[in-house]
Amino acid sequence: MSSDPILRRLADSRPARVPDCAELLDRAFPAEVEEATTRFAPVAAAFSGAALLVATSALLWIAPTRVSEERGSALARTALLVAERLSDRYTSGDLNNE
Amino acid sequence: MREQDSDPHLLARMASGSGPRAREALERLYQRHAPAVLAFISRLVTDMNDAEDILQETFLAASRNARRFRKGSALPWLLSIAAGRLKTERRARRRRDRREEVVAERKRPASSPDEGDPELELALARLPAGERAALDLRFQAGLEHGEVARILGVSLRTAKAWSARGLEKLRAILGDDEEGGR
Repeated sequence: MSSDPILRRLADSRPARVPDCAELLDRAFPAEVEEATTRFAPVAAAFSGAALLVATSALLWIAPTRVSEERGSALARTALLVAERLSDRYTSGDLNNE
Repeated sequence: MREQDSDPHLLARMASGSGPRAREALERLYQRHAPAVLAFISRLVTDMNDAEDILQETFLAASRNARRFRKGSALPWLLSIAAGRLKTERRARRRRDRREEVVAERKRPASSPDEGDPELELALARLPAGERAALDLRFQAGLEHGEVARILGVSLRTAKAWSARGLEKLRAILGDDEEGGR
């Protein structure tokens, strides 16, 4: 701790309140993505990385063409996030430990 | 701090994608660094709502890019992300202000004179933005000049000059009071 009073005041000054992170957590981990990731994890564990990529690409291609554009974009976004997470878990080895 | 609570471990858990472990890791990282990141942001914006939005965007970006983090404290990395967001926000605001020609009244000042050290806040508010940011990064976040320069996107010499000039001005503004036995 500095003995310089101005440096000490600078170091001590902080905003009074940091907002809680509930909204941040909901945005970072959307419920539908979490749910789908958990549901597909056992299936994905049976695939190789390449097969997972092909299946995901097919899902991304099919989703927007089978449903309305707005719903399709939301589905595609969710599918992409789920695929990313499954792929991360596949790479890190987590998936095979399910 | 236990090794599994270190920033690199928390970021690695976030990078592993999803689930309660990743969620908890983000929450811990937020609790550890959000005060310092918000302090930095609130030095450079005038509205607390904007500061909180940028804080959330910063941690959201960190969560999405967790796998890019390598080692050490995550604070300089988070501050770099926040600095990038601030630049984007300033550009967008300039465009909005030019278009509308009226700047909306600020509802919640980011540095409220009623909270913390009001005299220091008022003194800091009189400094140019660069000097305020450099002082915050150097003396609140405790970063080296090199890191301050990298985060603010300026040369090392400029970062040092901003810190020194800002401190000199603060001393001039607060000096009488300090000498008066505060």
